[in-house]
Amino acid sequence: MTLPDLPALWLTLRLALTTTGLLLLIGTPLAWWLATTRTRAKPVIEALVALPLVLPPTVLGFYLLIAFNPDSPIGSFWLSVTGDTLTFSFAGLVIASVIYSLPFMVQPLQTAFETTGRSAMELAASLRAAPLDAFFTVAMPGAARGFVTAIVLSFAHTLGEFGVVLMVGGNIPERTRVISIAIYEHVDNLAYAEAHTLSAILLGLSFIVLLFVYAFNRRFPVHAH
Amino acid sequence: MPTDTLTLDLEKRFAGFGLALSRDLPLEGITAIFGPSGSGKSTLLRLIAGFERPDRGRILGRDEVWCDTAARRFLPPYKRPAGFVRQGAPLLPHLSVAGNLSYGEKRTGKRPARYSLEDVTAALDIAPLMEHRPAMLSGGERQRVALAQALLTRPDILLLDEPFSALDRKRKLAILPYLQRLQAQFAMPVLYVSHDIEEVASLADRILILEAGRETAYGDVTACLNAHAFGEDDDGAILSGQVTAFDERLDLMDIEVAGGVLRLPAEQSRSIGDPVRLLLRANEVALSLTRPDGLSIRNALTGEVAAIRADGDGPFMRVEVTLSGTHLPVRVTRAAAEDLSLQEGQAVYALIKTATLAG
Repeated sequence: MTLPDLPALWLTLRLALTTTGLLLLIGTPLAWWLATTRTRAKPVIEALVALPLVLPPTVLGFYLLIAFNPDSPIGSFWLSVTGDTLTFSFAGLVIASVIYSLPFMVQPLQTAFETTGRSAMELAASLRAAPLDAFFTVAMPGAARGFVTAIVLSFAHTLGEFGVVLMVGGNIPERTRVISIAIYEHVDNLAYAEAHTLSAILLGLSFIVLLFVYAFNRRFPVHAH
Repeated sequence: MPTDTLTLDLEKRFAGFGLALSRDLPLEGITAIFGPSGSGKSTLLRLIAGFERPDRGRILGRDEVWCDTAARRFLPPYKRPAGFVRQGAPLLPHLSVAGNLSYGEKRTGKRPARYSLEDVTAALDIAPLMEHRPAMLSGGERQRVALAQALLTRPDILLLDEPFSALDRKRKLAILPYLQRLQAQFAMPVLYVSHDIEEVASLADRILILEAGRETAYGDVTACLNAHAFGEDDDGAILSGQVTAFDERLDLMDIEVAGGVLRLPAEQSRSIGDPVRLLLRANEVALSLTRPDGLSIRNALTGEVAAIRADGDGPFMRVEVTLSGTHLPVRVTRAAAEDLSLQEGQAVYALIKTATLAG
């Protein structure tokens, strides 16, 4: 691998890790709320969360580009607080990735929480666990497989993202230039050897991650009642 | 000095269903809540546990307010001193049996420990299971672990919502003595929801019968069950009796009931003088005008025909027999009733093919 590609690889990993971490913090309460709420607004929220699944990344990227523009309310607020723009910056990439990968975190978690169910939470309550205590000691362990799936999918999905990144971040080395864009550029420049190396790394990484998920699911079979 | 009473005064409406009950229950012994499905018995238990909120009313446990809609007070379920075991007795699947037992115990705080973990595991025969995962347990073992788990939160009352309904009859009968043992050993008040007459007759010290969300009877188990529990399809009676003698050679015991003495297979756990309840089903009793002779059926009670009426349009008649004051319905064919020319006031022998010993 040529040295110039190392920063792209490093940036990609940093983006995927940051995005997954933030998604865990945002997606866990959101998924729990969706799994337990009785509000009529639930289908609306569910549709909004699922939107990135069907929307072309360029469409999402286009709207984000407009929202992140320093002249827009969000963009100007960010600029005044941090002194940096959201467009063509790492922070902008992270926010865009979080939105783009949201369904990959929320949906497996919601399913897992729904399976754990009210009966497990009632059991915890009858064993004197306060709601937050019960969430961490019963609902979360009960959803362990859902967490593994959600984390891996979110991470992998962010790893391979292209359209949104290109729209929001462009192709600035060491700032917004991620692997998928580097590969595209190599191919564009007919530098197939470099494209091969990076592609092979991504392929190997993805396979190892999925292997880990399936091996984990074998070791911890579904708890039968 | 707090009264040992659970005070219930509740109203709760659902779509197409309403529960309204006002009743003080003593916090001692086993109280059965009996009724057909949809009668509101599970809802009542969930209201007591705090999993549902009443539309109106209050619940007091030992004079402590668990819920009072007028004062806008609601004690969340995790703060109520009540153990709860639901249908199927689920456990925490990611913890071992030991982990399941300590989960509640370590969250219980400073409640007086009248009994220890060892006492409970010994009483329920689960000490060898401590390292097992819930998925490895049999149905009966899971029920016993769930009971221990609830007991170890040192509750003021144990709420059981048809916990054994998933077990077959044999396993169910095997676990009932454990509940009685908990009574005797830990003096733990139990509220027990069931629609199984045999279970209730065998366990309960008193009974609350619900129908369509209303109380239809409360009090003595035998009297309430005989007045309300038996229907057209499932007719029978509960007889109260007492163990009077054991026959070691034939392995039988004598039970004195209204109308005579029944000889039934001896049970080790019984001793002379024990009160028992017997469940007799209308289609497991035959009638004879003479004392039976040359029959394999040996149990005969003397009584008198109180009423005869057709049992629908079919070939059966329903004969009401009085055994010195206790009513016993008997199902015989119309042909048999005509052959015997049964009449009201006639002396008959009720031949008991099987009697289920309960209680």
